[in-house]
Amino acid sequence: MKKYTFFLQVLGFLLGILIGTVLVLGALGVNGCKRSEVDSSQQIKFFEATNFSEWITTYKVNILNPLLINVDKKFSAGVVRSWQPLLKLETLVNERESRSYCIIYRFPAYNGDVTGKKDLKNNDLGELKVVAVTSNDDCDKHLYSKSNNHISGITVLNIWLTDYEQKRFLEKELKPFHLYIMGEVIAQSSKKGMPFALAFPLQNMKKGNVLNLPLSAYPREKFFPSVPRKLLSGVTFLQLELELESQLRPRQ
Amino acid sequence: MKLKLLNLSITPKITQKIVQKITRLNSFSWRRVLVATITGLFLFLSAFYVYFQFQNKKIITLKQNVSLLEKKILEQSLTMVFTEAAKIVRERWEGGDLEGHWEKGLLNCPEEIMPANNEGKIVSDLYLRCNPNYLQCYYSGKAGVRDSRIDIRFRGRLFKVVVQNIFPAVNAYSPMQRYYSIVALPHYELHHGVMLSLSTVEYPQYSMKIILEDSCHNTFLPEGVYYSWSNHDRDIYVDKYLVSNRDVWEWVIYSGKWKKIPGINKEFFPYPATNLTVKEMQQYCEFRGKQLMESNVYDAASIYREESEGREDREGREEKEVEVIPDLMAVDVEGTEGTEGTEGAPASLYPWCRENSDAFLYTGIPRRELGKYLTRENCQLVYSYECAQLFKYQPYSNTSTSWMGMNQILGGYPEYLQNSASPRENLKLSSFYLGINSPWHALTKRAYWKGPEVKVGRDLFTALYNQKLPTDIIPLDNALDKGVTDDDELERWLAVGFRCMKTVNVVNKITNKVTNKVTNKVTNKVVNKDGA
Repeated sequence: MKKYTFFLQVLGFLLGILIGTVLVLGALGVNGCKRSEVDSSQQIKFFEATNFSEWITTYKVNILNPLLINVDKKFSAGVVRSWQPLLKLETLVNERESRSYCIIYRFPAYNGDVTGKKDLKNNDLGELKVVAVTSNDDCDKHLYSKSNNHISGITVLNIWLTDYEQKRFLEKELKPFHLYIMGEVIAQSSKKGMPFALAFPLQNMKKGNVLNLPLSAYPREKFFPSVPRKLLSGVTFLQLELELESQLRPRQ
Repeated sequence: MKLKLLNLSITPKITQKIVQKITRLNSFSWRRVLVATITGLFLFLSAFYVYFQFQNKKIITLKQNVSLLEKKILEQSLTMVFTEAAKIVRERWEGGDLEGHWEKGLLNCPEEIMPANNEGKIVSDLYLRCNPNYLQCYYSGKAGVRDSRIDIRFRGRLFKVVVQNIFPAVNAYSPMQRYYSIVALPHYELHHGVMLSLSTVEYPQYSMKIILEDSCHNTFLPEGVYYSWSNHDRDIYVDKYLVSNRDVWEWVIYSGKWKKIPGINKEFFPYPATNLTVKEMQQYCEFRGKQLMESNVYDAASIYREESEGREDREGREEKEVEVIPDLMAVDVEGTEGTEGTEGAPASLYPWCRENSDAFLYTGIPRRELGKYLTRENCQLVYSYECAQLFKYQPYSNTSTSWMGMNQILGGYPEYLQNSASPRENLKLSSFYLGINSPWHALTKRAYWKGPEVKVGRDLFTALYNQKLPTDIIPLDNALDKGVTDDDELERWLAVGFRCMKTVNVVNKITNKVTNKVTNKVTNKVVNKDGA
């Protein structure tokens, strides 16, 4: 009977570990995969919704990497896994204050197709993040700043910025004074690509307010409108304000 | 000890057997099995606890994320709703009284705009376009439209957008809080705008401010060569109308330079502002992000351009023809013949025709035929002294319009023009002070005005006094009717208007483009080198 004692001890111990492992794996593994897929689409929705309200008041755009903007091909010029600033948007917050946003991209480890690739880590895929800075701040200083306003798991990315003219890209009509972020993200577990296309209207952008736009120079027009040409001429937008209930004024 | 105790209560045989079994079991080490099981159970419970905690945390995070996402999506939706509503607000701003309520007498806000039964029919509806006072009227429900809310249907949901009256009251108008405020955003190159705040009935905690620019009262001077200068290096916008009393009053209120705001009858709001010194005119234009109208730009904006390009062929002929016009009412502040504003004669001295000979004024109108020519149509071309006796002056009217949309360039009010090249040619004198046959009713003619603060020659005022100025067209008590003949008094009553212009340099933009191109090339090279 003595020789069974040790065996039963080990069996009981292993049983406990097994139950624990199954539960932990169940929590982290199966549900984790589902969550990752849900998060990709939610992350994109969150990115779009957050930036839509803030970027709508953009009045000036500085293209920090002209080789990567308005290019038909996907990003391939960067050093793998390196962070690079792409754009700096200057927005109006209110009548006194401006705020800038740096759009920064980390190039993925693979330039080719990642479908079927095993052992993909977070760092292997591209990531687009947005960092709010002051107008005088340099985006290069914020390459490694943390931001919750991001899209991770990017395999393909294209950014298009239009000035006053309508453009065409991949059979799509690009409206004037818009910022387009298009691409594909991949869920780590399923490794299935999920395309996305986001359009951000830049309401306060005036003609010619894009610095370093790699497009052909536009000629001066014979007849201008009486106010500078914009998405909605004659109207300047300030950012959406949320007032606390206690501060709400009675409406007359 | 336990065994001994058991021995006492149970029969010896049975006890012995039990003791033997227990001893065996004891030697089998149940304790160890028990410890292993407890360890397993502990691990199980620990794992379960971790699992539970993880799930719980995940649920909380997910809930937070979902509510944050919902909030962000709501904000995105509201931003889109406000963008759509802004289009409708802009229509109202630029269109003004689209329903014609002013003329029907349904505009009931005398603190902002005079009622129609008085001057409303005289003043054109154009006055209400890009007019913040009208917006104040409209959104406070006094413009004949009770419900000014804007219905926006977005993603199957109806939002009712309202313009909020959250801006401080201006007592000069009324003690009510205002629906707009005047703002400037210099960093955005917006020097004057009308700010409104939009909100919704559904989500009153959210609001978005928009700033409306005056797109109604400017016109663009196309790029070209005008006489001895060109605007290749700059975009020029000029005012379509003379600056009004309303505009000046707004400047007085919002610039904060005046401790006490002078009172003014709202009936005179649409009329040209005339009681300003040159310095004040400049300050006003600066407030609007502009500058005083320059004489050469005025000529460029008023003389028909196609003809002006061929002016050299006509120069001599024009000079002679001008000389033979009968000088019925020529006046000059310096007591000399009137001088022309620009070097050489223009192609046409009259904005409504391409040839001088086509103009009814060109050869002069015999006195007996004056009635035949003094029609409403002709008075809209040149609002002269005689016209002032027949028809009321219409501020904000598209009359006497130049080829590029600048209005009231002949007749009407005398107009001050900045002229750095010839400072003594700074006044467009063609006005209702002069008879229809006056040679001053022609483009490029300039007189000299020293400003209301400086004494002006008696000759002009004597001539004006003899004309018996029509009192209803000058928005101030007429000194001449009071019998004032002293120069110092009279000089204040010459009603000289002004307008502004805006210049945007395009040289910087071109330089930027060149720099950008160079930068791109350099960047390309660097990348290529890196690639190599």
